[in-house]
Amino acid sequence: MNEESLQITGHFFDGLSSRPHRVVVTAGADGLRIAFSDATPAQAERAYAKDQVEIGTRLGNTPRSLSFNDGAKVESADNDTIDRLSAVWGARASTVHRLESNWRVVIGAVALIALLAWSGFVWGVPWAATRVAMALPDKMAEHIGKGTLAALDKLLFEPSTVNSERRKAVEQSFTSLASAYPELSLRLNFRKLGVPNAFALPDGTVVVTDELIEIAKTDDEVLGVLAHEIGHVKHRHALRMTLEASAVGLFSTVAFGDAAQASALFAGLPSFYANAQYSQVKESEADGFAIVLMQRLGLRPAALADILERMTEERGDTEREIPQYFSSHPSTQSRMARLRAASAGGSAR
Amino acid sequence: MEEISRPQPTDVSPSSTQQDIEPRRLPMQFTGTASEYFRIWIVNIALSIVTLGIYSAWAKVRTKNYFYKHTVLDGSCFEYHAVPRQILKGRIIVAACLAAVFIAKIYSLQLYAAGLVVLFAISPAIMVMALAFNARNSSYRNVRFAFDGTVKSAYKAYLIGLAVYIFTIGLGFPYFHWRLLKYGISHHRYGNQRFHFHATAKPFFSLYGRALGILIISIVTMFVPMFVLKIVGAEGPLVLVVLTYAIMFLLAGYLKARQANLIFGSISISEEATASMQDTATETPRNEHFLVADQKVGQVIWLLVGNLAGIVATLGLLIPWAKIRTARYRAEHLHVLAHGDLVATRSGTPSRSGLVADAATDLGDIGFDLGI
Repeated sequence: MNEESLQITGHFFDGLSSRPHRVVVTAGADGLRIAFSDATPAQAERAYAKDQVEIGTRLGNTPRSLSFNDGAKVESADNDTIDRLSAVWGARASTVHRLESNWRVVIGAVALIALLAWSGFVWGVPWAATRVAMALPDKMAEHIGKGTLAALDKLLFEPSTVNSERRKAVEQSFTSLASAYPELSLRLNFRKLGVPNAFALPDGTVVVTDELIEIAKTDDEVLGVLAHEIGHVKHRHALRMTLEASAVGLFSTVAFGDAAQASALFAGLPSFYANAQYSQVKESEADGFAIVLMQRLGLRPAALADILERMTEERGDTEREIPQYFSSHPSTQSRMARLRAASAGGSAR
Repeated sequence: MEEISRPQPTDVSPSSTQQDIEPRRLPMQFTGTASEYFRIWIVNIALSIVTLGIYSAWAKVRTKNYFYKHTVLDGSCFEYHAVPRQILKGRIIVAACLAAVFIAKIYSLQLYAAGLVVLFAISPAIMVMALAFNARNSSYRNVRFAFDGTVKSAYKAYLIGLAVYIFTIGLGFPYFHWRLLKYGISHHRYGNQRFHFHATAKPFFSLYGRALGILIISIVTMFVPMFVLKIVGAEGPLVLVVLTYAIMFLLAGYLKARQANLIFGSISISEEATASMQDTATETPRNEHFLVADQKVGQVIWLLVGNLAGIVATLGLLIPWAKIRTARYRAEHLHVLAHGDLVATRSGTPSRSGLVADAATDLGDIGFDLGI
């Protein structure tokens, strides 16, 4: 052995039995010798050449193995000496371990992940969902729409009781709006729900509730709501919502599901919060669509604001208790302000 | 960085043949630290993102090894040997399967349902593959673990348990759980040592029965503060949320602690009886070593509450800390009562190999990751 010899204490395991042997490894440039302290004459010493030894990669301060080509190994926690041996033998030091030991890299990683997570939530997921939703064939949208309406009919809706005269008027205004978008195959359905509301399904089905028609003071108000719903169809909002919810759900499961089990209780919250954000974006997108459409027909977008205001009052207390950031709609105040400004100024923005 | 003194292995003299001496209490220890693991964790995530998920297979092996190697029994650590490249292959297969099921969901509900049925039907086979993959890639003192349950016996255990579960309208769940545990544990080997599971189904029934009792009592008593608050006029959804969480933590802490104590406490390991050994069995009793766990319900609740609070307050930055303290708690409340030598020898069974088997076992492995 030359002066470069290194000493590593550890435990030898022959691979045939789990019996530990306390050993001292003396390593030089060409190989190593193992001296047993519980020496039995047969195995007082063993020697391995450099190319018969595989040095395990470093992982924090966990014990590391020197594995030998005969299946035996030495396990030692003396990481620094093993690192030096690795250097003497000309092995490459673990890049990953170098990254993990560098606090600057660690802080950079935190910043990178935070940035990516944030921009992914805000831009990435909606962008990807839009691209996918627009690329999906119409047949699929049709399928989903039919299934949804059937399910809602079973669970929530009752047949409409609006008189035929009123119904005809609403249908007429719907046709006047829909005629500009034959490719969306828009259809109007009337249902009773108990709450003033309107829905848009991915296949072009728009549902208005009896209560919405009752609460409307003018036909323009109903028209505004219908235009808003057509906006949802045009932008494939229902499909995008489904895709976004799936994506966020998958990400948060991957991110938090693996963590301490306690957080599983919490895994639903990021999806809930993200979906609420996404739905705000969609409401204002549909509002923008309605503004353009109404202005083209010479109507005042403010009519939509008026009925919105009344709907909020009707729903009343329940909504007010929910803090703003948990509400799935943008503050109705800001939506109304935008719609009224559009009526006054005549611009969609 | 705090320095943790690592216990040295007790040197077993090769000729110690004395039996029935006082059992040795060998504590399980966990030597990982949050600051060390944090750096490994964050670099794993960053590299996984930068490599578009490819590194995640390497990250998985690194993470698993970190926890294995910091788990110390009698001065030696555990080791995980899975090859990341195989895990990556398995992940790609699983991602393709999940994508297929997801796309089926969009196209046709029937097709989606069929996909789910298939996933459900093959889940026992996947479970066997996962257990086998994990076992044969785990070692202690240079001797590997193994799992030798067959797919057929897994279906038998699963279907019998499931039948009891369904025909008793869910009341037989403890039996189902017990049946699966017994199957999974007693087919494990460590070298030439066989794992045994001594529990009967009865303590599982009493454990789950008590948990149900706790749930019912706490829901009933939950209405009391609700009523009081309603009278005071301070009623609101927040109170309901807090009380629900309190009940969930109480229940989770109870179940986790008592399950760990019952399950670990029913495990032992002893040299597998072979034909030649049975002749001499009357002469020398086999050395049997028992696992003992002593988790406390209150401490586990505190652990869970702390983990959740830390993770939520730091938007996930304390996930590594939570994992470390959970692993430490588990290890510190687990020990082995060794009767005589705790020495296993490598068993002669060669490990199964072949590309298909490897891909399939990796498939099982990831399946558990995603909680299928």
